[in-house]
Amino acid sequence: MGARDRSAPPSLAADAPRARLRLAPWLPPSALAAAVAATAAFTPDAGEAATLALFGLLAAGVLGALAFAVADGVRLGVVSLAAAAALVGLPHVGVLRSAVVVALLAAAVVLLGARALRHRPPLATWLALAAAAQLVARGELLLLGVDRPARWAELVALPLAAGLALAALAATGRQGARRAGTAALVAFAAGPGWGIAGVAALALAAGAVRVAEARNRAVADLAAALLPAAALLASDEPRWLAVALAGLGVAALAPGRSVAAAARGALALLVVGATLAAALPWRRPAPAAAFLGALVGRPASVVDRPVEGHAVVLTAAQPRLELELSGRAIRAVTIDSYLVESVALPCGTRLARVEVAAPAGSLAFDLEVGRDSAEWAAERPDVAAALACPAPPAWTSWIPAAGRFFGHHYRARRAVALPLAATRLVLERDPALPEATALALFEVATGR
Amino acid sequence: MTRRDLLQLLAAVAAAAALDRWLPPFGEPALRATVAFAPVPLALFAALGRRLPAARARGAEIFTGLLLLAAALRGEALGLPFAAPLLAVAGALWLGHRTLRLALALRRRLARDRRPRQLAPFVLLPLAVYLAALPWVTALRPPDGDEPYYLLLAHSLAEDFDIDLADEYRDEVWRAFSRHELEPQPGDPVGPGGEVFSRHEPLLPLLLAPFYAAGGVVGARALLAALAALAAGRLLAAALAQPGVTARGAFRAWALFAFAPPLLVMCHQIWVEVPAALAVVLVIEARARLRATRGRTRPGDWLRLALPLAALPLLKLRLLLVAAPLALLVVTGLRRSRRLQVALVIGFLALVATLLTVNQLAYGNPLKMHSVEELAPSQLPIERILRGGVGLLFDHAFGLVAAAPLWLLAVPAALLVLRRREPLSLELAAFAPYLLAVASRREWYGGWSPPFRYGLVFLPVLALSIAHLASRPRGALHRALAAALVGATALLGLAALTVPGWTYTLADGGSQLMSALGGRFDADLLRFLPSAVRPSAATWIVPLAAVGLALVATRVRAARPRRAAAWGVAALLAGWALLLIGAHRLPTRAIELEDPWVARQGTLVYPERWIIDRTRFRGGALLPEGASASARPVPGGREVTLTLEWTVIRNDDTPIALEVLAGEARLAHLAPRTPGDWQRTTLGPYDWTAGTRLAFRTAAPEGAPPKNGFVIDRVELDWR
Repeated sequence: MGARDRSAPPSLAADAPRARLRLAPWLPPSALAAAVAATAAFTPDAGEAATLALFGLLAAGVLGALAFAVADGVRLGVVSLAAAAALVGLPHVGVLRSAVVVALLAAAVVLLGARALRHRPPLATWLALAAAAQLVARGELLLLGVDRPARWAELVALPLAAGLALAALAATGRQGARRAGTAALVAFAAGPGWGIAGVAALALAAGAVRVAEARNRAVADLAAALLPAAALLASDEPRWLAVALAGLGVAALAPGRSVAAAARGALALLVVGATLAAALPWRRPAPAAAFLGALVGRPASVVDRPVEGHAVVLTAAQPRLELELSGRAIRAVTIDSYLVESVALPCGTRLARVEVAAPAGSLAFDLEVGRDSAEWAAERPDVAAALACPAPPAWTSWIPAAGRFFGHHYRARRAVALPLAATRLVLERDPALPEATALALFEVATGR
Repeated sequence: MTRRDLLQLLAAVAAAAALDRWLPPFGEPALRATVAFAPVPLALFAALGRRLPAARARGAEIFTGLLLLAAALRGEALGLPFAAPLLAVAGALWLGHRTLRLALALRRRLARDRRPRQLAPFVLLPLAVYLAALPWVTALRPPDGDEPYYLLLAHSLAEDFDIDLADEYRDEVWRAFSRHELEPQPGDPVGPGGEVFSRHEPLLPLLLAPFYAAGGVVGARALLAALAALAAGRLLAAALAQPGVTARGAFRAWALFAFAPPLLVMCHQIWVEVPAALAVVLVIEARARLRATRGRTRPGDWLRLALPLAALPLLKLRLLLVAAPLALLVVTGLRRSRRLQVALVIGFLALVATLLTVNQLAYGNPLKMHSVEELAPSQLPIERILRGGVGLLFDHAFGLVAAAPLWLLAVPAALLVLRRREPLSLELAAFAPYLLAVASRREWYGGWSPPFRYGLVFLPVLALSIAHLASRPRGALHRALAAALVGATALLGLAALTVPGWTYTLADGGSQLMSALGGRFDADLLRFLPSAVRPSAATWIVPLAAVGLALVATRVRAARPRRAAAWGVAALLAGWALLLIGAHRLPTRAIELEDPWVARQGTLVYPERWIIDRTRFRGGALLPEGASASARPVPGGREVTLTLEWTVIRNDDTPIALEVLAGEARLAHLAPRTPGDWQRTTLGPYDWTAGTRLAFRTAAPEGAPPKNGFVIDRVELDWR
């Protein structure tokens, strides 16, 4: 009497540990929110304050969701402290703060999530982890405003749906947790984050696995790995990545422990990397491919970086910048910049002449609108509508003091056929540009 | 270490040398040096992992480590400013995680087996950590302060086998390891034939010489790291030998001593402090063993007692104030061995007599550049001694608790030891003369050096006191406080390792860390931090409050200690928010113009930056002609009366005046009366609107470089 029917698949509710709401794990994220709010409130620079506010909200939201899932006050305390230190302690230079905080939160979600999923977690844990992961991947939506229903769907509805699908997947037999974890990683990497295609694929996978589990476990494993990978086909990522993700997913569910562990590690790395590449400050359109490209591409080394961490603005009044270099051999020049008051400039307009002097030769090239730089506020709706030349892909994005949009930096890179022992670099703003147009330089570097 | 461990270590050293030679340049030189040297600490970690199977590197750790390596090699592709320090932080976190797992495994083993021969891993683990950080710290923080002089002497001993530095100065040997031009220091004796000797004692350079010859500065620093690791390991042994100290308490003391500042910072510095701390640990350990055997000695005990006691004054003359009381304790503990007692007394007295005689012959003064009056605190105002003592512990730039807040627990720990009359209380008392002498010095802060430099020799005793405290069960409040202090200590330790330059501060009342933070918020944060260099109410209130909190927390045994750590971290974060709110809401009563929150243009620090013993002078901001300084005070009323403390520096008769402004509205115009005298001028009262900047401006001379200027020490604001 009272014996459980072991032939039926376990339900979501049966034998699951209850999630108890405890106060202590919530304390560190709450205190983090207070600390960052105070820091933002008393920061004189409006742009920096806006960045702090957004990332503070993001960090508190992610950690709050993790508090629900993990309920580990010590680990959450450590992550909260690290996030606070990064937000408060790092200088407001370029994309430094946003990159570090997003990386930290992504790592926290992966590590604490893996810990929470060890022992047949309840539905609430899946929902909380899905919400936390979505916040990390799509946190910029908080800046863009949650006044539109579509944004609410992205931030709330999609993660909830993903959590439900994953919980259903986790309840499919003994392999359930592994399948759910693998499917989650594959689907998330396809987004990154929970997109409609990814969530639909997860739901499909959950149903397919439930059907297949009773007949053939290997087919169930394949369904759990392949269906979420198919979601990648609906994104901007290259097609080969879908095949690679599918392969990794299958390997992650392989019987061999080391093969499965290595595949899971690779998936986790790809997820974290793609999430970083998609989040502020990089916001790459094909983030997984961008991350892999950065990982395996030819190593670059910087020789000189005469402009770094502060802006140098070339205007009509001060059009020229001369920089001394070390004289070591270089193969490339990189310039990060944006334009101000350049909306009306057509594509190809010359912005500046760049000359690199060396004892045995020189290099000269022009910076052009639409190829090497563009208006900083190109994404702002009123500016985007008026642009005479579409902006090139942004190198990095940042949060300006006013408005709910992102500002952009653009990168121009010129390679030299033969090494050049560069001693001087001169940038000169084109005198034909309108008086009000300025070229703001954030990084000028030479490299090999 | 086993043969396999040694072979692996040798292979790692060879690999590091090969990488250093052939690894192509990438990123920052410091990052490249750290990656090239990495095989050596990793070999030590591997050796420890073999001994502690439960703490072997997991797949995730190896994976993350490889990822960091890839990121280091590809750091430029990240496109981030400060990529190298970021990677250093990430590497330090990886290192910290690995160290934590190994340390916890060691704790479990220690609970099972307290025998001394099992303590080798407690030396190896800190050594691995110190060596991992060594290349980064060395590249970013070349030898400074007295360090180059020790290296110069080590070079002379290694190359010429003498202590005459005349040829080293002539050949500019110091260029190999110093950014600054080296000249003989004040007090360096000169021989009849033009020889130049160093005023520093030769024992440390003698120890350094072979390591310097083998590996240059890195070799010398590696020796210091090894001595620091040995001190940590022997501290654990000394703690276990204390009656009433449990394995848990000894472990916590060891972990704090080994992995927190100041030792974490000083372990790479070529000062006498680390070897001196090791000598103190060895003496305390030997004394504890003598107590355990009730004064019966074993063969070799005389060496364990005599050598460290002799080393102390040979490292630094001021350490005689430590060696003599410890020698007295040792001698009184040897009641059963009269011969050894007599031998130690005679030997110690002979050593002291020889030292004083040599000093008399070389310097014409047995105490070198010091005088007996300096050692007589009765001649000094009690406030100065108290200030020095408080500063040693709590000064926000130079104090022990500011460098590593977890050391706050040393105060209730020491009181516990004294209250219970533990044997350690004698060692605590033995340091009283030394601490009194240091606290009474004008340069109690250690000069241009990391925090708690002069106090480092006392650190082992504090750590052993904490071993006693940590052996007791902890209540919820204690756990919460410890969690907050551990969090703050970890952050500060990470900052000190990543930006080693931050540990060096001018004695002007500020600190590098607060300069970096304070300048961002346009508010005076420093007024809430205790400073013994520039005393204020916080100098006394904050330490009292901190000590009071620590005493209450360690005495109260509140129930339900679970999850207290989360409360502690939350309190720490809330504390930061409160600090900011307080800085922006509490009325400003005084403005020190050299503080980071004051916006300055064209001003200079006064007195000039590298003046020796700068606390002799009133500090301030020098406004040459054409300079300005401004701050936004938090009003405490509608009217304010200003009191300026200022003086003028004149090099010609050009008229000069100081304007005092509220925003752009001129409040006052000061013309100097008597150059060189400090003046106190009261201005106002003036109506004041919140948000107005109080500014000081001097007019620029026409077509001529500035030759005159105003020095403003502070401005007091009295609100109504």
